[in-house]
Amino acid sequence: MKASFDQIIQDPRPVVVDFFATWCGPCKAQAPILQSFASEMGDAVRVIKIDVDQNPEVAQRYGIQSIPTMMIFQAGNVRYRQPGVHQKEQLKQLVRPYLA
Amino acid sequence: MNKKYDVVVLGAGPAGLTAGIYLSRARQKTLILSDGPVGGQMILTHEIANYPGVESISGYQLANIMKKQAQSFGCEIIANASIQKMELMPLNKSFVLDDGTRIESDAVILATGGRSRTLGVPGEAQFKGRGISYCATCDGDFFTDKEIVVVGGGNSALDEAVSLTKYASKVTIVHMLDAFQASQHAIEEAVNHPKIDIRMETVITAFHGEESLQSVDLKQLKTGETEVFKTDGVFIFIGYVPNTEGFDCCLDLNERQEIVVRTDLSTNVPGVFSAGDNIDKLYRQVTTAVGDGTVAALTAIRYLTEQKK
Repeated sequence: MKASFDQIIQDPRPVVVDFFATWCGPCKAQAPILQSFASEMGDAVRVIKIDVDQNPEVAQRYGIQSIPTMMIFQAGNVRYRQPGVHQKEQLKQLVRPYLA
Repeated sequence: MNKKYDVVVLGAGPAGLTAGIYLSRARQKTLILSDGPVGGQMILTHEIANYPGVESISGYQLANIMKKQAQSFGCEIIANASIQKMELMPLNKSFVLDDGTRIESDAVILATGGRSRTLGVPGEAQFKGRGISYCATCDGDFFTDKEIVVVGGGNSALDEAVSLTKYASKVTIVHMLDAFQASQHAIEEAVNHPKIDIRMETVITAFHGEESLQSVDLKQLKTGETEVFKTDGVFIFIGYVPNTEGFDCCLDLNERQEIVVRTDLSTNVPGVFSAGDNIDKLYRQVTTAVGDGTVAALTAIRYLTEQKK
């Protein structure tokens, strides 16, 4: 998983990463919003979800101490990071500057 | 696109969902409209053990049952909506969504809830999610075997301090007053806990760290002494602020920005009612929100019946 996560965030497109846990209520509320965002954006962005319990090394590396936390990477660089449920419009605005 | 309802309920927490259940069951064409997820603050709670009739349930599950119940009676729900414009006038109650949909209704129930109050000191925004949390059930696990601080002196602060001892090796409660504002039971449990240390009449004046939080500045209010206090995490439970931004146009708010209501939960604007954590009241529980949602719905139904006469 570690190798593939590192590869994924090298993508030249914005990569939206949702750090979540299966037992977290707000994370469950985030899921359908993220799904709708992903289908609306199509190939312009890449959206992945990281279960912090299954991937503790990735979560630790980025010092995730609150879930859900949303991060945006592009070509390996961290572009954004903020905890809390993100609305679709907010996500669209956040990725806009990084779209090709 | 234009849509017309008998009642629009703004907010999808326990107050809004309950209002939706009562209104739809009474055959009122009802829309629950929320700019956030279904469940409101309830979904932050891992276990609700004081909701009568249900021994133990997660807030997320309870919210979903309420949602299904409302929908089963025909209530429509739009969650995570982006509301661009809102009118709350005696003769014009309408909402415009970002996709251009215009929603009109004869009555509105405001069940917009509240959110965690922040301390408003330097570093708080920077370290939110990097050591600062407002939700013990969401984030407690990240502080296993770490030393943390809990800010506040009410029931939620003391209860959460005790629950965080499951993870943290040490919990220091920091409270600005010289006494706790909590139930005797909650106070005793916290005060007698071997992992809990207490600093009264003390405040945090700043947060420091690099990637994540490393220390806070503590100030003892009586002596004025300050101290750099090393900590891995700070949980803040100092109450709530009502989500009433934009309502001051037309509604009477009190000095805490809560909506002023009559006992039937009507407001100063005819046809606008309010329920839940955003109103001027003493206790904020899922059960009280459900009670408010019921009262506001029944009052709204009476109002609509009288209008049609």
